[in-house]
Amino acid sequence: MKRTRLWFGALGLVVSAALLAACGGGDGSEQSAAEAQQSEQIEQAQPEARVQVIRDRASLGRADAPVVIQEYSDFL
Amino acid sequence: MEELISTGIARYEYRHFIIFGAASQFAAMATECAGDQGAWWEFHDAYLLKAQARSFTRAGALELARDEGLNVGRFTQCIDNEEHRDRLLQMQQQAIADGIQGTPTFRINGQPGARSLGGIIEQVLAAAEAAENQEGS
Repeated sequence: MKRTRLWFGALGLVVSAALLAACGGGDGSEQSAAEAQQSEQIEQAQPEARVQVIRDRASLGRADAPVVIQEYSDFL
Repeated sequence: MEELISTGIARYEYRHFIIFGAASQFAAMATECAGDQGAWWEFHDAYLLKAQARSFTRAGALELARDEGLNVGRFTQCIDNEEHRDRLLQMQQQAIADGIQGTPTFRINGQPGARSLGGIIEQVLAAAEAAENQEGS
């Protein structure tokens, strides 16, 4: 199950990157529409691969996710 | 990055690392005070994504709090009393101890992250696979 999620995640990223590259010459609105459409396609194709995104204070995602990405940043 | 989070592969955590002085410190404090009322991300987005300069002042932060429907009296008390000062200081000291020197800096499972988004994604996928293999063995 986890491996499936990993592959779906990787697949989504690859498709996103390809789509962004293909839309490189377009304006912002074209990109947004294409990204939305692509995101919808992934959603339809892999509904089981999605999990509820927990939007907690200063964090996003499941507490038991195998990988933790920490970003150190300054608002200015 | 959204894909990694929405598929449950990764969790994202934001850490304040103040390098631009009082205005940054204030913005971090205001965000934490907003977090007390469940609006941490709304303030984060206002500061970081929308770059709402007005928010970096006390008046601007109060206006933002009002816009977000927060209890402004409680919010004002929080920022005026610097209720999260110790927490922010602790976060800063921990970051320095972890070797953080500038922003933005990423760490993946506690290890230094790549400088590019592509590199970070590769690291995350590799870390996820390693975690999975470890679990399976």
